[in-house]
Amino acid sequence: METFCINIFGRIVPMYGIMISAGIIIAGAVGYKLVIREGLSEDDFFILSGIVLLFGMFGAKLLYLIINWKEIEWGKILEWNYIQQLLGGGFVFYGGLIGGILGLVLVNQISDINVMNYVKTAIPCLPIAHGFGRIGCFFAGCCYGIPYDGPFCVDYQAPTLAPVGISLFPVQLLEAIADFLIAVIIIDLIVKKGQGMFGIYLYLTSYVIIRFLLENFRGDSERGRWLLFSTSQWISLGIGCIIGGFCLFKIYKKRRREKWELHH
Amino acid sequence: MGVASLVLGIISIVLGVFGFGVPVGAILGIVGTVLGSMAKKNDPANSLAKSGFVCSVVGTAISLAFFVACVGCAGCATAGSAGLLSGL
Repeated sequence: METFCINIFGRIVPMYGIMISAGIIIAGAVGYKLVIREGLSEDDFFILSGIVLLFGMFGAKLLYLIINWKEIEWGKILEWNYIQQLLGGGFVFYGGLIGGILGLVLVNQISDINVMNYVKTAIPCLPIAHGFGRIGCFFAGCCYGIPYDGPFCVDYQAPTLAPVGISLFPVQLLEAIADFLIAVIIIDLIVKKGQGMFGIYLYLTSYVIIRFLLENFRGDSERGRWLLFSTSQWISLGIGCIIGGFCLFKIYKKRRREKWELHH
Repeated sequence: MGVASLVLGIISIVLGVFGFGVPVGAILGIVGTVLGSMAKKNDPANSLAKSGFVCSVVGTAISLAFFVACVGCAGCATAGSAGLLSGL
């Protein structure tokens, strides 16, 4: 396939940008519906969303620049076109996730908004936006898969970022499907049970497992790698350990309370 | 805050549509959305805040589409030599 671009009033717009925008708008609309359904304030939701988006963009860009710092042309760093190029291209999802969480912590500290209520309700927004981003990657030819010639293989033609003329595994689409599936399952649970911490646990646990596995099917070589795993696999492992530790702590606390109640 | 949101929303639409300073357009649009929501929260009947909110959302969407698009095209042209779109 060729990189898919569309022409809007004489300007060429690749699907990557369209998909990022569509993902944010659709995720915002779904989040809005869920928030209204739970009786929360729509204004607080949009305030939170804006701050999370700003911090998320900053975090995603910062981690991308840290990983690719060797490729930055420091001689051009003061040129406006180069700054635009650096700012516009390349975002690392995990950087965005960490940045977004920092944004939430900041809002929780400085305002009277009950951040956790909104996070618990609007958590499906994250996989929805991410899924659209991955479809954008598929169209742009970035984040491509390993060479593969089985069913559903994709063969990019010039000009793309993927190697030309080699059949590749459509890892971007597989990740997008996984993201949408996670979102549908969490929305279904929220609609049936109401908001709860289960949505956050379910999202983080399922995503880190899926991401860790799918990293093995990624073929783009410019990404950070240390020892056996890629940067994203290390981050997946780290998040997995934090969730696991937190769950064990909760189980330990629950058992201790049960024992205490038995004795008193 | 409603006026500030409207001004930021209009600037972000202009920056996005004309394609210069699009990263700034996206950031201004998001800040405008936050300010518009804060103004709407304080006074739900504030029509300036509502207009500012809508303009900011539209400006953010346009700027983000063109923002990543510009580099998308540059990335396509260099066909991976820069590796700029190879987010993890």
